[in-house]
Amino acid sequence: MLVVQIATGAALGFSLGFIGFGDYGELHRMFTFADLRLFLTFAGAVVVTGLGLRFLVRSPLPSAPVHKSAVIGGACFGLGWVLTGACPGIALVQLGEGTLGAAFTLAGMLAGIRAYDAVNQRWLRWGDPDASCGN
Amino acid sequence: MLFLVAMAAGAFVASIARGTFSIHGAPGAEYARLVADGWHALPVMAIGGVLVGFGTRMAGGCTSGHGLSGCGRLVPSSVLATATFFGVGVVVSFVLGGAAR
Repeated sequence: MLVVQIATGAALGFSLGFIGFGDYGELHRMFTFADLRLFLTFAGAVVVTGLGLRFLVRSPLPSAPVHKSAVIGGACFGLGWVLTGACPGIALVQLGEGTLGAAFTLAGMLAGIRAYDAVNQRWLRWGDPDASCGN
Repeated sequence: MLFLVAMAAGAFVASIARGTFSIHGAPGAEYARLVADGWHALPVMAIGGVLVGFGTRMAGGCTSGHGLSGCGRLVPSSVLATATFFGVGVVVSFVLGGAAR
């Protein structure tokens, strides 16, 4: 499985980097609809992933009810994405491209994950995040 | 863990192939114009990173989990989360673009 991890990780990192997802200018042009290339890339990836999960993996469809955490969490993430230029995987892509500041983004992400777990356990009690991610 | 290291290595090879590899602080010249300049970029990236970590943990997924796997299977909460983070991304980007002009 080590070989699979290395091969798939390298392929994903190479593709994202080569397309330009690590560059803030590209991201800004996507979000302001000045250049639809990244949007179309993403849409294409959704279709390929959907077909792969449907016909190759045959994973059962998750049936988790919709919870407000999807919207509140999504909004936090969207704001953070624009402030950093990185969704979680992209921070690693940026590091590989020589963007050393992405180490701050990564450190922030790890702190944010821990902070949510603490807030959730203490006040929100919205359940175990591991149980909802992609399941 | 190896997967994550391999991702960075793959991106390194891609930036060499594109001829864009360089050691720098913020992700591209546009970042300085639109978000934060010089060393100011670092605390902004750290705070933004906290929001990304907090938000993706709360939502139960990010661009891959909700965006690709979830939307690919048309899971309602994933479509909702993806629409939210892309929507917020669009709005904030237009605000930053307007402010920088």
